Amino acid sequence: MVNDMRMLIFFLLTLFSLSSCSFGPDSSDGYSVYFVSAACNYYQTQNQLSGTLCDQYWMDRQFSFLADCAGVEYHNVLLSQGELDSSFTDISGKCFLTVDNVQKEIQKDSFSSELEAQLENLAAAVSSDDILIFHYSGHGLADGSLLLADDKVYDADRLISQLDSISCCKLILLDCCYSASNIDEEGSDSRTDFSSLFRPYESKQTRTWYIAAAQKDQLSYSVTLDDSITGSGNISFGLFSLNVLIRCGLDLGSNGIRTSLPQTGHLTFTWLVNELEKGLYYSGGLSQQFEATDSVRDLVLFSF
Amino acid sequence: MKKTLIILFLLQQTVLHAFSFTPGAAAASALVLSHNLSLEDNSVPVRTSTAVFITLDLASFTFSERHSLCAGLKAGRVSASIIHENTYLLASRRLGSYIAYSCRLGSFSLGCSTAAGFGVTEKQDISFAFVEAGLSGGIFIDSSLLFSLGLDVLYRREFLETHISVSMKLMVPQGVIG
Repeated sequence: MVNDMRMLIFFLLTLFSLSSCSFGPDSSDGYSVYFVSAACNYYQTQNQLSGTLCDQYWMDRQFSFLADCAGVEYHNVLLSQGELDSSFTDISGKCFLTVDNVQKEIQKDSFSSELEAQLENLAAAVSSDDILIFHYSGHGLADGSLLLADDKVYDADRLISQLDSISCCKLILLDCCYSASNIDEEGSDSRTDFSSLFRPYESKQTRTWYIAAAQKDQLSYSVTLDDSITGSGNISFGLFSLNVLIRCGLDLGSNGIRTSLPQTGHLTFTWLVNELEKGLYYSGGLSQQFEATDSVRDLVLFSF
Repeated sequence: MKKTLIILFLLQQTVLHAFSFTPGAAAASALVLSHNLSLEDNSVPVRTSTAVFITLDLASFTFSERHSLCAGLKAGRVSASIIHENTYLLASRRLGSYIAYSCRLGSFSLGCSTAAGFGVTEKQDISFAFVEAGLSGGIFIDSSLLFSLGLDVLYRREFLETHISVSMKLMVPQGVIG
């Protein structure tokens, strides 16, 4: 009897030891990260914004650094309206297209068409296990559309449709007003309702994870950090982009702004959202609340 | 009226004699295959996880010393899945109630069960409902100890899960209680 009980206990312990292993997350090998960003400063117009170019610059630097640390290939496609001087101050409204760090000046009037063309190029270039990070820093409209540098409205449905045509996992970071309007809620019907359990499930957005800077009826703001924080003089950032950067590892200190690793071995969408939910740094009481996609799947951006 | 009362009394006696409170508890470990049913993840048809469950019989009926019907609670955790194409399914915890039938054939046992309940994903706290049905076959190591293999199919929004499990069940022998 005693021996039987010992055998039973041993068997149960073995069973639980084996079953307590969990699989994920672990790194995926051999993929590329594409960072696509559009940033507009609306220079010398009544809509002029500060911080958008800084957002793009540091997003590019930080993601490039993380890709390097994770051992994955990195590509950037940057559409920018503006130039930064050495103190990260906007000094012009010129427009540029940067592809894999090769920059050329473009006409302001072709900003929207260049963005569309670059997204179409990516649809052909990416493979299904690549990751696209799309970032926008600029003005947004109440219906979720983006107001680009050439004063053209980049329709929300058009944006979603172009992103859907890119067959890889996508993280969309929208730092603009009313940006949560782009997050599809119709596809997230109630999962806890037994009566609808067997209703066909349809999603309008495939393999796309959104983090929007502001609720559907909210503005998004920029903040200016002084020299004591940046070590590089007063620098403006979009509040949301700044917080994403800090969670992704960007280090602000008296030695200046530096790229560094985040406080996690796996930078995933869910981890980033959970970190942002702890509160926004430097918000100074501003009423801005981000919104993110609800998904039972998590997207692994980088593993270190 | 009298006849009705007599019938009810006889029914009550039958139920009382048939009913034996034989609580049992089981622990199971499973391999979980989550088959994707939605458009959102059409490039990854199946995701693989592990799971641990415990069940607790709250009541059981025994018929002819061989057939038993029991009801109870089942709780467990399904781990995060293996990463495919840079995505994985979040881990989740589940709690549900089940009804199970089993038939004892000598040292062997065959059974089937059905369950329903709710789960919640970890990290994102997304709740979901599920329904489940399963078959099991086992062997009695002892009069109160059953080792069994199970195959369950669980349906929840977007996913059809197949659970292939091994479990150990400890039961209070019939007649010890009640």
